[in-house]
Amino acid sequence: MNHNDIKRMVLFAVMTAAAVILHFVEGMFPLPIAVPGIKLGLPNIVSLAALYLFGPYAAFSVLILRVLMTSFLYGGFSNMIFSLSGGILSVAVMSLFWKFRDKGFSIVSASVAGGVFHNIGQILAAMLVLRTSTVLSYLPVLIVSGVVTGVVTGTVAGIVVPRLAGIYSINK
Amino acid sequence: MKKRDFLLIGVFLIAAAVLWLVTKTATGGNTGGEVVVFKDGKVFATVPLTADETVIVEDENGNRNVIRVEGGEARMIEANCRDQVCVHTRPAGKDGQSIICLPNRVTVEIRSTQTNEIDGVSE
Repeated sequence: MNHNDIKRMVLFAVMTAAAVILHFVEGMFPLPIAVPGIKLGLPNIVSLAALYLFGPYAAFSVLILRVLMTSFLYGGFSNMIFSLSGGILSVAVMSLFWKFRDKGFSIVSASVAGGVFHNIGQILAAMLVLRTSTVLSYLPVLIVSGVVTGVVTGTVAGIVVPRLAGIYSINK
Repeated sequence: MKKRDFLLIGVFLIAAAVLWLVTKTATGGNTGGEVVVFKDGKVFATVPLTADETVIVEDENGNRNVIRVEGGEARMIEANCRDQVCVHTRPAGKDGQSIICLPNRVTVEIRSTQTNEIDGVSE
């Protein structure tokens, strides 16, 4: 393990911790909306930061570690299924936009697409768990909420990433 | 934000609007029919919408949901789940409307009793 490996490991751990805390903070302020699955997605700021600072590998690692930790701490097995299916789809789509970041898509695009596909992933999981397609009727609302929360978290990430880039600089 | 960001947002919002219109035409419309309560994807109880009845869904894990059918509407009046989303969902009374309790895997659906009343094409 050389110097860079250790630095990378510590940074991933710090980001995972930040994501777990954001998950906890988000749970303290439930949104008064009667549609399941609408959340601000604050932990997604960390996924975005990990993606834009260190690439998809970091984003997936931090996501999976965060979901495992929050599920063991607060959630449960079914929670884990929903968070993982939403999260993995979301990070996968955000990685695509990260790849095309020079083609005119900013971090906000990645965040918006990530938010929307996070919700789509959760709906797919709900369809499997409940074995019904009625959950599809929530899709329009969840797409709009994904866009709104995506703009919010994407804007925050857009402010955070350049500032962290200086501090977190490692040789990739 | 860049121009393409707005473009992407626009695409998603249009997709949402189209989907909303599609589900809107598929559901709603005629009232009447029956309330079907599903537990773990299987039919647990079927109650006519005109009934005045309370359905209690309980399982061996201590999950509990209470569904009240009254005045042509079904509502979830009690659930011991964490998020209580289903309790705050507005009552279902029209075809295709539903109430879902994800943590307890309970869904309440309104289903038309007159099947194939109008064939989509022959309107």
